[in-house]
Amino acid sequence: MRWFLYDILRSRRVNIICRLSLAVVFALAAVGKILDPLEFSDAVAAFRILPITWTNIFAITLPWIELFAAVILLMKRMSKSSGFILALLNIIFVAAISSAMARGLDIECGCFTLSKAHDKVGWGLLARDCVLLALCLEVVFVADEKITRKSNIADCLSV
Amino acid sequence: MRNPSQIACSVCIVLAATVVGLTANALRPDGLPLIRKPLRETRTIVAKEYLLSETQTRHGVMEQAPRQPSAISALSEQEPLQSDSVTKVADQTIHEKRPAEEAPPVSLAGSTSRKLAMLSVKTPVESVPARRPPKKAEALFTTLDDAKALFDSGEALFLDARPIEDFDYEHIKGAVYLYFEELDKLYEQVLAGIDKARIIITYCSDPECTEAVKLGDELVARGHTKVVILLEGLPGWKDAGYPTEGKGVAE
Repeated sequence: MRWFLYDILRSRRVNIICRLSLAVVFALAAVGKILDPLEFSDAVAAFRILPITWTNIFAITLPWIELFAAVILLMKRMSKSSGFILALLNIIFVAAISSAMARGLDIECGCFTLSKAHDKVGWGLLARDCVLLALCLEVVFVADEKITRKSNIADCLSV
Repeated sequence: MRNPSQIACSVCIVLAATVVGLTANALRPDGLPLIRKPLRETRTIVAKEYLLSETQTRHGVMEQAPRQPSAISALSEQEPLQSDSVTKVADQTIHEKRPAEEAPPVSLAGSTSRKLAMLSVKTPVESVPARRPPKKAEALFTTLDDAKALFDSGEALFLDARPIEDFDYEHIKGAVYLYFEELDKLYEQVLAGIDKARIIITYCSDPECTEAVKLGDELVARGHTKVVILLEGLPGWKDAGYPTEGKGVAE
């Protein structure tokens, strides 16, 4: 049974679903933040983790990293590289949300600034990010190497 | 992911995205400055005496103030308002980029003799350099001591810019709830009968909370001429031992 599930997780179909889902979610999140970096900077400052002087640099660069990783995730040969970036980002988000919850901060996530719905920091948000992290880990560690074959540097740089 | 070339790919993606992001930010007209200043350094602190004076016009544009013998006065009949200097001081919005050729702005933080400043940064169009559009009006900061003095005299209306749960739990005694996100809904209820020249003090939960700043700016935009922001917020008020009320306050 265990190996059967493992084979399913390693299958091409599951890999494509994971990559498509991650690409859509992170691309949408990135576009909102790129269009309104001011709001995202305020949201980052509200977490009280980074020194206030760094929040603008973070707000300027992070959405572009998300967007690049989301788009490149759709490329078969570089999906593990971009999946790794998204996994790291998700780990940072999960840590930040957990820290905010532990300190009792009643703030918004700032994850999807395009959305009118307010994304308050809480268990629901934490669960959502854990699911995204699981999808990233599937792409990076579980997916069959044959799906992303020829992962040497020359093929990484070719589209 | 054990292949070093995959890690190298990841690093390349991050670097490329960072370069593109910084370039895009530099090219856009409303791009953020790379270094964000603490909120306290972005605007002027206005003295209580100025708030209590009668020199404000209906639209918050300061007229030339008469000569004051007080040490804190920075204005005199011999020195009419320099719109450039005032513009420089008031130009420090939270996320404004300063062109390199401008002189450094006057720093008021820590100054022993506080300068009186405009509540509004609106200046006559002809005095503004042609390359820079007129700034919109914005609220300025007040100190904890001045806020307490205005609280004691009953001359100020305190507005709490935090969510209702926080307000119900504890707020400055006598403060009124006006959460910034619900301003359109609550404005008529809370401020319909209030004189536009009434002193209003907005506050929220800490010195980097922007809700009180946004609320203050919005009230100035709606015609209120004496709106200031208490940067220290409720925690600073409580730490100073000033009165609060709410469900979470022990009787």
